Amino acid sequence: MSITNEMVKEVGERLYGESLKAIPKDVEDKLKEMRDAEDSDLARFQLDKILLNARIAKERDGVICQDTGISSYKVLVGTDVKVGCDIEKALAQGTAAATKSMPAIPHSVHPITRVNSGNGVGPRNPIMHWGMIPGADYVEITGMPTGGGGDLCSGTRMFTGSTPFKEVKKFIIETVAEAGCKPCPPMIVGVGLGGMYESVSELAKEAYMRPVNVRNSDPIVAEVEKELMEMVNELGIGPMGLGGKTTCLAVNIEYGNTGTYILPVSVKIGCWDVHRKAARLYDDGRIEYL
Amino acid sequence: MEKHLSLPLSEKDVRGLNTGDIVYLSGEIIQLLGPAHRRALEDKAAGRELPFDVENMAIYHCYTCLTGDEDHLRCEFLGASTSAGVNPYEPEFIRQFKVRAVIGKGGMDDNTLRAMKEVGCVYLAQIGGCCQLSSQAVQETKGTFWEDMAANFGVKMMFKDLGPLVVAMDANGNSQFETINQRAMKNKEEIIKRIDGE
Repeated sequence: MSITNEMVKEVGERLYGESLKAIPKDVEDKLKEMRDAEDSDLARFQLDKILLNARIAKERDGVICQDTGISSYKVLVGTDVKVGCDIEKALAQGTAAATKSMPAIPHSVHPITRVNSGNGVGPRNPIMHWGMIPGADYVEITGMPTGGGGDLCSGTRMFTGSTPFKEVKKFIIETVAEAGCKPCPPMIVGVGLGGMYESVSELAKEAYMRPVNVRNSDPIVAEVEKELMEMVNELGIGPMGLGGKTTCLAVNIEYGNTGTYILPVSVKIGCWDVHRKAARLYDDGRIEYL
Repeated sequence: MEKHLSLPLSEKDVRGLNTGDIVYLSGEIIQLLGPAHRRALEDKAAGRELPFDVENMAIYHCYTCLTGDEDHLRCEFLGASTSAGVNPYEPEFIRQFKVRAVIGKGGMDDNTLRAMKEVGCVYLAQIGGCCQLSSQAVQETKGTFWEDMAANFGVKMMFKDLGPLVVAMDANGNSQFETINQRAMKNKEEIIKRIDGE
């Protein structure tokens, strides 16, 4: 017995669709909490409508946002599971199937010719992130398609190792302020710290994917997360850039050690409509949606 | 203030709207993205016939997911796209076509604000990401045009109470985006000063 192409394709199709059709519980709770704390009538009004839109999406089995994004998956392979298929290929089939069955607006285009493949997949699409889980007898796949609005406002900067950390804080605040109304705030700010150029934006995306109510397990980092979130919400950008205290739902930081002479920093700006849905696949044919 | 408006709109209608007002809009609205604006202006300058007439009407910067064939088009969902990309064409478009409302998200620049004041036109901001709210206002998909423009094709649609839309740029020279942005930039300077003092 092993995990088959059909299983992975089915999971890829469902995760792409379902991640677009609901906002995670932690995000919904945070939106409600911040709505209640808002002073601005217009901000409260818009946050209420964001919550209403999510309820309608659930009732109608529809997408939250029209930007159905570029498909992306994180695949964690257990060390005690037998995989009998090309997971990347099967997930591409799943994305193409979902693009048709949902339907989604196909956005996958060639970077130079801008020719649209028409089915949401193409070279390096879906985007793949890989890892392993020691001792697990399953493969865990997370669907996390990404829209363009937030990515347009995101950025990476390479600091030298001798740069005082306050310059990094300034870079993060400036990136958010510059984004302003463009990424449909309230935003979630994912920060990647350290690693090298090749890995820092992946850390930022990982930070963006973490639930908004979970702080980094390193207390020093958790403190910086809280401090930066307060600062971002002091900017006054507010929902959709029309004013208010609710500019971000969280600043999440993921870090890795870096070189003595360098400090890579990546800021992934994303909107409140974070797409996150996972499933576990076992080699006896079982599929468990989380 | 909450207002339910029906297209066409008069200059008086739009001059009476102020930033912060909430609008629900009914009538035929045209989906028009940046490249389609450019084409419209080029065609008009060359005296070619256009597939739409938006005088006193509204245009919508949005992406629409359509299914079905030419005779039975079905709108699966639609929602506002970022308007900033249309900035280079919108002032001239507003002057040439006398459009009364531009619907989108994220706001537009000073040149567009000036054209809006001159002609009598408002910018209505949709709550970004809320595509179910806009989709449920669709009554009928009447047709498409400029299909050769791939994702930037045009759509004509009938809406009943499209909204809520926030009057974010009015016809009297006020932009809520600009007001908030200036305040945010000032707040940012203070935060940066505080960080520098650490």
